[in-house]
Amino acid sequence: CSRLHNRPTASQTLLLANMYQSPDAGFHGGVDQHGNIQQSDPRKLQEHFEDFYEDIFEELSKYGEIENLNVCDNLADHMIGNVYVKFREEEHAAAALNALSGRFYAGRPIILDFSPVTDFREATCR
Amino acid sequence: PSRDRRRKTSGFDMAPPGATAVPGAAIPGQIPGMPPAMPGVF
Repeated sequence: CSRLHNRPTASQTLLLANMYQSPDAGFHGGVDQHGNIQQSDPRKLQEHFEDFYEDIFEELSKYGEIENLNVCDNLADHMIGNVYVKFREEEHAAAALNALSGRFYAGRPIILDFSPVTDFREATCR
Repeated sequence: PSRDRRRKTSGFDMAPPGATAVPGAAIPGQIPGMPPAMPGVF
């Protein structure tokens, strides 16, 4: 994305960059540990997504009340796997930011920051 | 069927294989914050 997004110093919303990895994407390229090409059963994908969503929701709920949680399950590079979480209070977003910085999720570092997004319906980057 | 039964463990704090710089994680046989012992090097 060539657009310059302003990074707010405080926000109710956090962006967790590239956090969700679809089984169809990512490092394995749809191949399991035995080298078999995985058929993407839509139910499996849905379960995988829901597990991820629940996992994220449970962890983030520890820091405050969540108003909105959006997970991008796209396969294109732009915003791939981005997670947007909007807390009811700015302080809760800040607490989550502090608590999650420097930690890992599923073998990858968690990269997160405040996001200017407040209304997800309007949040289309064009 | 209960969703809890097939619920996977959380992916949080799952460090990458071979990671050595996990904040707060104790590495067996090593005192946290101390560099690894290197015999013969002073």
